[in-house]
Amino acid sequence: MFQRRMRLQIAGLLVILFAPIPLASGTLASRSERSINARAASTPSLQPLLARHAALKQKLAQLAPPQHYIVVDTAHNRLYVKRGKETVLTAIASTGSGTILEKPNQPGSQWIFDTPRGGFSIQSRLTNPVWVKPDWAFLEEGIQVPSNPAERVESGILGDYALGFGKGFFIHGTLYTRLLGKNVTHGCIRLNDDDLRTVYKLAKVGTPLMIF
Amino acid sequence: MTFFVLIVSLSTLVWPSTVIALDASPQPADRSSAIIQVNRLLEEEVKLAARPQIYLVLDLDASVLIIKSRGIELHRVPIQAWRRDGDRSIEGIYRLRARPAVSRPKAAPADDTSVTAIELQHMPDQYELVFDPGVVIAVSPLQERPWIRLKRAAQDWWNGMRHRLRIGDTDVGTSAVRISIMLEQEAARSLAWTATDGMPILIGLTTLP
Repeated sequence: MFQRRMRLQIAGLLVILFAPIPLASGTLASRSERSINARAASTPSLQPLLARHAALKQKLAQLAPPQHYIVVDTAHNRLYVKRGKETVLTAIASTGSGTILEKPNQPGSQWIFDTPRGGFSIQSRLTNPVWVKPDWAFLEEGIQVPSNPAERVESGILGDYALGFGKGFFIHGTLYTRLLGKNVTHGCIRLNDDDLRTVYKLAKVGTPLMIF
Repeated sequence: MTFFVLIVSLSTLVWPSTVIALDASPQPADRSSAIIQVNRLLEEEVKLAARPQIYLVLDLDASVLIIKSRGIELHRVPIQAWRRDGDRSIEGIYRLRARPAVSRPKAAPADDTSVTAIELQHMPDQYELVFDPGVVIAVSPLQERPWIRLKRAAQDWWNGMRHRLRIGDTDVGTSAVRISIMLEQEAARSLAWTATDGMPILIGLTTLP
C-alpha cells in the first residue's frame, strides 16, 4: 500500500517536472528570427514598430550610391571600385606617408603628408595630367622654390589620367610601381597604369569616394 | 530507491534547462523595446549617412565593430571578447574626442627623402578611444599566452577603476562607461589608424532580436 502511494506521488512529481518541457522546447524552437518576426508582426502593438523599421532601412539604403563608388583603405593601401555590394575592381595603391616637413622660416608651421580620410567625390577627370610641383617638392629635394610658375610644371610623372577629389589631392599613376602597397605619397593615391585606366573609365565627376 | 534516485537526477538535469529556456523566451515587451532601440539607432544612422563622412557602428551583442559611410559597410572588425563597466545605458551616438598619439617621422627641408613612413605596424595595438559624452573604448589585442591575458585583464581593471574615479571627480552627474574590447592585433592597429578626431560612433543593436 505504502509502495503504491509512493509510486503515485513519484508519478505526480514526474508530471510536474516534465510538464514544462514541451513549453520549453517550443520556446527554443521559436528563437529563430523569422518566427520571432512572424509573431511580432502578428502582435498588433509591434506592427507600427516593424513598419517604421522597414521604412528606416529603406531610407538608409536610398542614401547608398546608386552607381559605382570608390573605397580606399589607407591602412592596407587598397582601392576598390564597387557597385552595390559587388566589387568591380581591387587595386593595390600607395597612400600618404604620414610624415611631417617643417616649413622654412615659419616656426611651428608644417606640412603633414596624410591622405585625407572621410567622404569625398570625384571633382575632376584629367587626361595626360601635368604635375604643378608645390613648394614642399622643391624643399624636399633641397632646391630653391622657383619664382616662375612655368618652372613648377612637370609632365610624365602622374600617368595617363588623374582624378581630383579636392584640395589638390588626386588619384593618379606612378613611375614608382615597386612602391605600390606602401605608404609613400604626400597624400595623393597612386595606382598602376591598368588600374588607373579602369578607375578612370568607371568614375565620373560626382562619383563618391570613401577613404578610411 | 533506484527509481527515486533516477527521478531526482532527471529533475536536476531538466529544471535548469527549463528555467534557462523560459528566460530566453523574448517577451512582447522586450521585443518591442528591442525594436524601438534598433529603430532609434537607425534614425541616427540615417542622419549620419546623409553627410559625406566615415562613421563607426558598435554592436556588442553581435560582437562587431563596423566602419561605414553613406549606410554602406566598408569594413567589419570582429570583436573577440568584450566587457563593459558602468550601469548607464549607452545606446546612442558619440563623437571621438581623444585617440592614441602617433609619433610622426620628421624631415627637415633639404634632407634626403629617406624618412620612414608611418605604416600599420607602427600603430599601437593597445589604447583608449575617448568619446563624448562619457564613453571610453579600451582596445587590446588578442593574446595567446594566458599570463599576458591575465596581466592585461588586471591592467584593464585597474585602468577602469582609475577612469571611473577620475570621471567621478570631474564630471558631476555623468557616469562614464568603459567598454573593453579585444581584437586581433592587426584589427586593433587598423582601428587606431582609421580613428580620426570627431569621428562619430553609434552604439547599440543593429539587427532585430
